[in-house]
Amino acid sequence: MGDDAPDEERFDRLWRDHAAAVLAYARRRVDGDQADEVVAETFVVAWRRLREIPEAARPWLFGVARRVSANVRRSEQRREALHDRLAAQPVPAAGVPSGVVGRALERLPADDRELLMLLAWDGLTRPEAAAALGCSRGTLAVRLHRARRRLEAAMREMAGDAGSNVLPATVPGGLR
Amino acid sequence: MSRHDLPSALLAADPAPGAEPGDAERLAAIRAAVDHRRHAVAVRSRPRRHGRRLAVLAGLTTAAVVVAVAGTRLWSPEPDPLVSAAVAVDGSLSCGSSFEGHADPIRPDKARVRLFPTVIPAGWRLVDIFARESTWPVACTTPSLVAAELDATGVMRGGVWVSGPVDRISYEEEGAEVNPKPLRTADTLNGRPAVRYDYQQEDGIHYSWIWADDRGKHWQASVAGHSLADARKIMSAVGTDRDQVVWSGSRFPRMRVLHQRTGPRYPAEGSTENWYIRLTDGTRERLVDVISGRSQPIAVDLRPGERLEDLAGRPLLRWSSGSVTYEVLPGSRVTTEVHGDAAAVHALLAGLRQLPADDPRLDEYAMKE
Repeated sequence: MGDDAPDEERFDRLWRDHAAAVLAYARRRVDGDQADEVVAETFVVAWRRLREIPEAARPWLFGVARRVSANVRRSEQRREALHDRLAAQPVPAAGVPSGVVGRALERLPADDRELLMLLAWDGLTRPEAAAALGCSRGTLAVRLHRARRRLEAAMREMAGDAGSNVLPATVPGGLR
Repeated sequence: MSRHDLPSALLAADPAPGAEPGDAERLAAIRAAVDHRRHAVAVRSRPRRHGRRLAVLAGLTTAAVVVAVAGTRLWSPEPDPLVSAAVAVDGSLSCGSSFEGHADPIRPDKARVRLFPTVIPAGWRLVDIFARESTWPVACTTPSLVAAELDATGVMRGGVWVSGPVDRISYEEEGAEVNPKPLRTADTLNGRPAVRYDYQQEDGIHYSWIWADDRGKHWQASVAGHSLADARKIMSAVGTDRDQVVWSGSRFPRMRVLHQRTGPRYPAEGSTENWYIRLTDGTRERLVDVISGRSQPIAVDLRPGERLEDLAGRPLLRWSSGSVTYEVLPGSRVTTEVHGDAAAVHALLAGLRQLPADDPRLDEYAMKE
């Protein structure tokens, strides 16, 4: 839809085409009711920035939802820190499945985890994931290669077959 | 590499593989909330490209134009003249819709805080640095008064946190599941009608009160580490004088003030800057997160059973989760994780130094974005 389309009409189309996907995205990353807040805030931001949204809107929306999810989690931690001694406890990432895959994902750097989730679960293509993460396709290819190796190494280790030689000795620079 | 080149176990582990029953109703409810919020906000013109904002806004409703020209109130750096808060089910103040969920990147040389590690632990390597600017709900997250009872070793035994004033409050009837659910009762506090919340925590029951002063402004206070009878005695030492909290310490002399706001009340929103230093210890990423723009000392985050430590003459708070928060400069706090290497982390934190804006390392290590 071009820039000349009425804002309301474009926003309605955005909602119709992507709200369910953003809800699924949020469910994989935050707890139950927080997912609703992530979707709501993502689309309020989308409304405000409607004229900046590219034609391929889903990666853009996921990019916003990613930041909103992080803020929701931080906000929850802050709220608990203010009134809840349990704030000192680590907050597990919501939505991540239990089992070997879930624990392996938890061990990855956040950027690696997000990249794998975008591709495996959120259905983005590699160019779309690059757009969502704000990096070039070349950078994404490098990051994906590294993330996949790390995940596989972590899964082997979780399964009791640690392959310490698989993990790089140092994390290469320029993660983004 | 396609999706199918990813590990099959990962593909199969999707925790939300499809729509769930009730999603249509859920999305309808979310859409209603979105419409409610977005009607207070105009569509923003393309950023800094046109320069003729009024022309871009032509066609929007008059009300929307007024809001936009005034600076889109919800996201404006202009402080909201009225502070609204929701009272969560545990009696805490919540400004849940006050964040945008969008942090703006800042070039490191343009950041206010430009802390750089002068000590890097053996085996560690600096990867990059980056900075973000965002807003945060100040009035709902910053207590105006914190007083604590500390034992001889500095461990907090109990404390009181007072927040406010805020102009408007609403009570959340529904909210995050809390088990056991906090008990909410009508009460009287210092002769005024109040709502009290009793919230069971690991270290005992926390008591919170919400009340209004003579002007109809709302205040919230929480007491932890004390019985209800003692909590009432502590609250008898809490008074208000217009926007100020008045602490009558002689009524509960075992407590000492850790933080007390003396200036204007906290605004609905404030600007904050995060400065990130990304390192690797050879096996994992280590992120050092510096938050600036907060006026309160980290002592306000102290909870019963915890104590402030000292690192290079500045306070440090060690969380049971394994991370530490260090007040590297007044108004700037650093949080990072410790993985059994506290000495290395402490050396890193104590060695943080502010770089001049023209230091070439700010460009050399800036994350490419």
